[in-house]
Amino acid sequence: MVKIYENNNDGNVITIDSLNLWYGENQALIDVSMPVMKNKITALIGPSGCGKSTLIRCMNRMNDLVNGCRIEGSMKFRGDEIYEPGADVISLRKRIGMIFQKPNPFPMTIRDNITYGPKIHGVVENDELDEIVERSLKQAVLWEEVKDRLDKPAFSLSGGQQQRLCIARTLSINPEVILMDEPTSALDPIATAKIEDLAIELQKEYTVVIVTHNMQQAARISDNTGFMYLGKMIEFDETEKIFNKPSDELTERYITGRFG
Amino acid sequence: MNRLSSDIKKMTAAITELGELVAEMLEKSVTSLINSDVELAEEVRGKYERVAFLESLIEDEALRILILYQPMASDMRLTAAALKLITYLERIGKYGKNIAKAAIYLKDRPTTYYMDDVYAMCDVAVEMVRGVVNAFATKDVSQLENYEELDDKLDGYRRIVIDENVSRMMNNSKSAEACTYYISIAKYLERVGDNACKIAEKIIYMVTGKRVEIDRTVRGL
Repeated sequence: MVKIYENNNDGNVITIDSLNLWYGENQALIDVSMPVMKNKITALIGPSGCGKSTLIRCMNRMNDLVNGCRIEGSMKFRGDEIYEPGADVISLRKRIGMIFQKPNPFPMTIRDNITYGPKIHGVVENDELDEIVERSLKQAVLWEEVKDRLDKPAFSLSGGQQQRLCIARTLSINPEVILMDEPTSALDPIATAKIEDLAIELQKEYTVVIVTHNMQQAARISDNTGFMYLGKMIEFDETEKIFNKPSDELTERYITGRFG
Repeated sequence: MNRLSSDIKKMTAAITELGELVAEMLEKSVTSLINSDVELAEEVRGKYERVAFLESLIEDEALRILILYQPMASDMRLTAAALKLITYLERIGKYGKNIAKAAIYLKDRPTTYYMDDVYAMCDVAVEMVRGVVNAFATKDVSQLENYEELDDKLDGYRRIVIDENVSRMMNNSKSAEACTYYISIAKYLERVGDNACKIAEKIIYMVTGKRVEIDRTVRGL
């Protein structure tokens, strides 16, 4: 039976419960539990190798492509298990989009980058595609900068613009959740500020999960923060609490830079 | 120790120095008043320069820490508290200096006024300042629990000192000038208590992350 991901109504878009993940013999996630709340920005922080990227990649089953990857536990999207046999991965990835560390536009024009997804999903009318291009680029706050050169190659854009193009590309197919894996680590401070503003803007209509090495960024934009260490979720709470008075000694030591 | 830790340690040491300095000024100003000791009063007045210096130094240091390290959690709370603490501590230093000035003035104007209430106020005020300086250094906030009580005590004494001096002025206009000074001193000591309460609130926030309100009279609650 194909999952339709519509079963829950508790305000959590994604619910993770006792999730364990192994790459071969190596356990990368240990008993991780956390919610992803609707229309909130959830940040994942922690030192390199703590499992935060692995966790965010689980949310739209990106780890399926890794050899020897094995997952146990529960990860529900809108109340339905996404790792059960019969889970509809295509629908899942359409509804949970992802932005990566380095901008990765397709080697096509700006317009084609946006229309690629909708076309695959069956949109053929030019008028409708034009509307999608304009809406997506406006939502990604890129429209004003590129509206006169939509048929130029995507690689002619700056790094920050390319990243916003990737966000627009994700928005073109109306996802519900946007996963961002260190989306600003390759960008300068001005481009970073634009992406952060954009994330806050997107939160009104979408749910955002962001992995970041930049704690100030997590503090600036997120509502909830999870601190991970050695594959475990050490502490998950409201961002203000995490950065003001964390409950766990490890979190305190990490965010005050007294780690290791 | 990383650079942030060592900068925070330096700033903490400066705050402790400022706290001990203003507590000492307050104590000595009161002693100079009781003993009509002009020399000691002058010494207290001279110390204010260091208070002003430390206030600027700590403010610069706290701003530098905020800009360079964007501190989080306990470091952030300490730095935020530091910026508030220096203002309250400077005020206490200023009250000490003012009491010393009053001591110099009152030396040549012997009074028959019964001073016990002023002395009692001095004891409470000094106890409160010493208490917050110690709580800051030890991060032990349990010693701040009775501050609302101590503050009420100061308010009560101030009322008595004002009433007594007002009636003395009415009975004997020659004593008016000296009586005005005693009223001012009572006001300074009462303000020392208010500032000590605000410091206590900030230290409780710094240590526990919780916002408390000790001095409820400030907002008329």
